[in-house]
Amino acid sequence: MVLQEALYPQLLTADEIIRKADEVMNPATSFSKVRFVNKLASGEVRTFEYAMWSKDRGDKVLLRYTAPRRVEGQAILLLNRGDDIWMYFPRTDRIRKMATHAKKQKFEGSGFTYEDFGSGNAFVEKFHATLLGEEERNGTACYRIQLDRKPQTDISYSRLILWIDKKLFIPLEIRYFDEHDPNRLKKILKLQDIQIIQGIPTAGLMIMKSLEDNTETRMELISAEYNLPIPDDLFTENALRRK
Amino acid sequence: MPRYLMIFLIFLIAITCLPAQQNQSLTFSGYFEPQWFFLWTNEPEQMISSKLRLNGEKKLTPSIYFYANVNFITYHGKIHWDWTSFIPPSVISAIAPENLQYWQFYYQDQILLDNAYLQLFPGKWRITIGKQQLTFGSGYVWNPTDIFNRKDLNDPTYEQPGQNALRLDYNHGTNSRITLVFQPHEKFEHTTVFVRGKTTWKHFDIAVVGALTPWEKNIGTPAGWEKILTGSRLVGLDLNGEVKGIGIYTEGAFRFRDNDRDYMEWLAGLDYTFDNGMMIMIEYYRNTLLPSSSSRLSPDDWFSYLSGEYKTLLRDQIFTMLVISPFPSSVLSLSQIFDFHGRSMAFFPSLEYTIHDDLILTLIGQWLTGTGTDVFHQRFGKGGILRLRFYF
Repeated sequence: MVLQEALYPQLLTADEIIRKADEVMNPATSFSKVRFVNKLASGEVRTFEYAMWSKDRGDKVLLRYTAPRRVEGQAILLLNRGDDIWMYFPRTDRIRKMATHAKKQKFEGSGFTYEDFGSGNAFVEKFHATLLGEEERNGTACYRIQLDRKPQTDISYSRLILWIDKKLFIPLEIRYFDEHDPNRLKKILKLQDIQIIQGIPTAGLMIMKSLEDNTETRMELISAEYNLPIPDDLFTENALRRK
Repeated sequence: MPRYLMIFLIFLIAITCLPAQQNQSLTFSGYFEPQWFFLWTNEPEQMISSKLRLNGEKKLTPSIYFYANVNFITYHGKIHWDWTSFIPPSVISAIAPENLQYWQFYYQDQILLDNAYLQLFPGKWRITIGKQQLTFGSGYVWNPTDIFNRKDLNDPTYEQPGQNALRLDYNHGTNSRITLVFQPHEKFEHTTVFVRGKTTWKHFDIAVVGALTPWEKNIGTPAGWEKILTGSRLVGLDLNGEVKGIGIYTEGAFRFRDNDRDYMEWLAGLDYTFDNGMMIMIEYYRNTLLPSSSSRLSPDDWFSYLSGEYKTLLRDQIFTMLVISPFPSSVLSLSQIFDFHGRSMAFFPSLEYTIHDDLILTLIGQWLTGTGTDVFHQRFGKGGILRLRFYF
């Protein structure tokens, strides 16, 4: 359906564009397996793999590490668009509720934070959208959209600038700006190897560059399924502990 | 429930289920952990241990899971420790000479079946039968509602030993759960019954706890240390959430003891993570069973503390921790415990460095400031632990 709409682009407002991008990025349900390669400034490389289930357009997210052995079985449950976070540590069989500020923590020392995984439709609800114009990114015509954080919202970025594919409505680049300084660029996410999976544009590779610590993180998609039936009881503490 | 009955139940279920699922293989994992413990008291001392943890697990069906692990541990170096070297001279003089032998502790090589359990998932139930970790409570260092464990002050996140028990969890809704634990003891009337009801309200996890459990007390007698078991009942509350972005948690329990004084344990903590990833935590712990002055501590109190029966020695203590990640592969932390009454402190700086995806180096230091009869006395020595852990 997204693909059909993409074939008939019309004059769209910034809000409409960002809503369509949100639909692409947050399908009703999804299950994906991802390899996470974090290249540190020192040149060291850390690799993780995880499985991620998402429901209600990213409102509920369960992320479970599958490799390496050191963190295998460790899991994170994010509900209410990341406003409630529980972490499970299999080594001690302990579940702990985390305060929401913990979602600002870096995900395994990478440029991603926990907030980047479970914020649901934050682009729509927590930002004002402005259409800055149209530009090409990697030879693809894109909308250039600026998102400015609404007052009284708890999102960690004061501003985002997105380049959104005019046909597929998937962002090809996102620039994240500092929480307190909307002119200070913190990190850049590039989405590449765009594939159509079950009619939904999907990035096969995402590269996040953090300008603060000069790390580069690659998220390589191993597999993805969309709109599959996922029971609600997967997004519970009980499921966190389940092997 | 007698121990043999529990073992019989595990094998009965395993035998029933295995033939149908022979195509699913048992998977193995674990870690190897060499560790160097070094201490400067009157002279430098050291002990080296090597631990191999071997885990085996198998999903028999989507609703039946088996897990077991065996620990092989060897010790070298100074394996004999005289506990009296850690206690004030005034307390030593109160110990009968014939009882000093009981204050000697020897580390012995061991092969231990640490965990071995079956988990069944019928409907909303989760049933765990066998030797398993039982960890409860929001506190980082102390857990008044956890009657099964005592954490190590300088390494509170280390895994806890398995407990022989039958655990039943009934899950309701998104995050509400009732947990029942039955733990057998030598006498049937000493069986531990533990109940925990947990739910979520707004951004808080709230749990109420009740337990019938034996109270084990070491009493010094002319014939040596005698373990006495009496009945006790516990009611507690555990709350964990946030207020205006600050993590807040509290945990408390009243313990009513047969033929002995009732007491209360209470803990409150705050934590916060700054934008740069730095995390701070502060935790206050109170135990009304314990004296408010270290000069009133008896040999029994010290022995109970050193043997792991008591979680702490004095009534009020405060723990703080600061954690930063100066480099992406390293975590640096500084924790300290402050004894309100003697005003002595224990510092535990630590560094965790990820050498490789499955190889971690950990260094934990120890430095205490107390003098005289203080709990965190310098006689515990300066030193630390250097640990490597390789996961496979």
